[in-house]
Amino acid sequence: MNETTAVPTAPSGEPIIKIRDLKKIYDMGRVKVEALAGIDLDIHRNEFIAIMGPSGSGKSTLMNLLGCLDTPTEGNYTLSSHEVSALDDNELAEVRNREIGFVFQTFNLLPRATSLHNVELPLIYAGVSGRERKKRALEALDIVGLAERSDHRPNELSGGQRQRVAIARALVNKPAILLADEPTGNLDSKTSLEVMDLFIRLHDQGQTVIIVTHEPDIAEYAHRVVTFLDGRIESDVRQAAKRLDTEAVPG
Amino acid sequence: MAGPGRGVGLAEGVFIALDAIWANKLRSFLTVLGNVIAISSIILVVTIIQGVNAEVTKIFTAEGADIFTVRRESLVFSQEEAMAMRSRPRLTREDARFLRETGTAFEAVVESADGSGRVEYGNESLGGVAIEGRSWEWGLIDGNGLEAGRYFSPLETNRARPVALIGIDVASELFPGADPESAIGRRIRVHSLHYEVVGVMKTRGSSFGFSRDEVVVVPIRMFQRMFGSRNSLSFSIKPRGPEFVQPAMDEARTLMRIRHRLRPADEDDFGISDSSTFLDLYNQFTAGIFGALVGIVAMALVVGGIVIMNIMLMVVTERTREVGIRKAVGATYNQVLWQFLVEAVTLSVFGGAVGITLGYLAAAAIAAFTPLPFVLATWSIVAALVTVIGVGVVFGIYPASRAAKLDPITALGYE
Repeated sequence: MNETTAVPTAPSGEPIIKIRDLKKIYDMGRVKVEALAGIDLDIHRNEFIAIMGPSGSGKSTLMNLLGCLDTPTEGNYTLSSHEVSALDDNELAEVRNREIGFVFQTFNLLPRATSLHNVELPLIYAGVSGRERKKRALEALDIVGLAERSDHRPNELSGGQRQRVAIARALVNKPAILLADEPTGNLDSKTSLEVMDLFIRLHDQGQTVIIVTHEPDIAEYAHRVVTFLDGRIESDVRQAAKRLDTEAVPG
Repeated sequence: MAGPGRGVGLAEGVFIALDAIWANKLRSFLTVLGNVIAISSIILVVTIIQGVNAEVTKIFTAEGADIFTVRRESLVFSQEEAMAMRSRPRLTREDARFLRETGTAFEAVVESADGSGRVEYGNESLGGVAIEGRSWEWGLIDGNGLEAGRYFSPLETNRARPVALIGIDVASELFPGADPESAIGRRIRVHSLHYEVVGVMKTRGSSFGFSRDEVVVVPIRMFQRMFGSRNSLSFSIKPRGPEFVQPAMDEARTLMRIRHRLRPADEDDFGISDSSTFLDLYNQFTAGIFGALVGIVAMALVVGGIVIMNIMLMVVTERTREVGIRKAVGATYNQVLWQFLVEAVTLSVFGGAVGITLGYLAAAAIAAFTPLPFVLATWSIVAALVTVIGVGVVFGIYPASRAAKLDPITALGYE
């Protein structure tokens, strides 16, 4: 039995993400492709947002910009009071390291490294020393329920477990936003539920979660759905999020 | 801002590299073959040259460092010079007498001539024995000493008495089982002439594996009786003291020029050399070998470095996605550069380490199967390591910068 929460009201206060007239234009030589045609978007702390849209709608471009993997052609993007559009590559790397936790469709774990080492990775680049690093990585693995698999390599884990390791890696630096790109795209429906349950729990604990997806049933778990079409926001809807029947999901 | 100090540390970078080397054992070995060849040849050649050095120094200093030699021939480096020396006057016993009577800085002037021949006693017969003709002064400067008996007397040299001193090997082969003392007074044949043994020399040891104790020393006039007096003598001269080496050499030169009636503009028609002359010559020679070695090794290292660069470019391509992941979680340009640079250097040092081991084993094998001593120079290992680290940095920097420049979005999408 699934349940839903009440439709939330728009939060007030200073947003954690503030986007104004954001444009991304790809110069393909003779033609210029406008992937984002100047969008405005505010996201507040502890929102659970699904970004939807068909391929080519601009949602992947937005994901790259939100994740500080790319810089906009025009416009402003402020993330936790950093004006990201003005940063150089090294500063972007530091913002990615401290403010953003990525979760990818293909997990993107280092194949030859253990779960523990994969989760430690962001801490390595944050300059956290060895013992503290291990402690925090184990804590993150514990949150996703995989502390006892810390010495396993990705090929010794199931798909769902791999994605949970990836989520632990995303969490370990206590980022401002958790940015997930089709996180259930490579998982069967049962494991998808496990992973979504994890996102819901993290959101309940105060985490800001942004999920990019084209699957409507995944978007149903979000409190707000932003839909893109042709580089513009077509709709921005707050909704009563579907809740999982926790009985049906193993811890 | 994050610098190269943060991120993947040195130990971890080395560990990642070793892990990759282990995962691709054959490829890694082939990659570093250039380094292996270069470094093992450095270690091997240096070790051999050090061994030869030790032997050569032992030989040239054996007779006493202050003794110098006057010869008919000078050191020459060309056929023309060698031909020109054929017209030089021979050094004679009269020249030696003149040096003794006129010289003031000499303690002893020994006339010498060397040949070889057969030595016999009863049914025992030894061929190819070194036969050394010496004047009695040899007894004054011989630092080697006698096992039994005595040196020649002045009278025995001047009257050409058939007396001989024999090396310890000659004694043991002509008189098997007998102690050196019992050799004294026996009559042997040297180059078909009869001699009375008056002394047995202590061992001179060996050089390059050849015994220096298969030797018979006879008075110089007896030597000339056996081999003729047409061959030039040479003079070994001991100065009055160590501080007189240069004055004594100058005096010998002046006296020989007077003796040969040379005018001031004429060049010397004789050669004077001390042990350092030969050591200098030898050192020039080994410096030449080292020079050639440096050239060969440099070529091997450049080839090895280019192979390492290619493999690292391949590694970067293979691990594009890994770079993307690292950049996504916050690795900076410098941190990625550092990681791949450490990996290239580790690969290069791995080759160097294999090379050092192989060179060391080859040198040890040579030492075991030849008379050369095993002298491993620590500096050669240090130089080898510094070199391979340098090769790793020089040839690793380009692939590492390629990795560091990768765009994270492209790298993450790379399959």
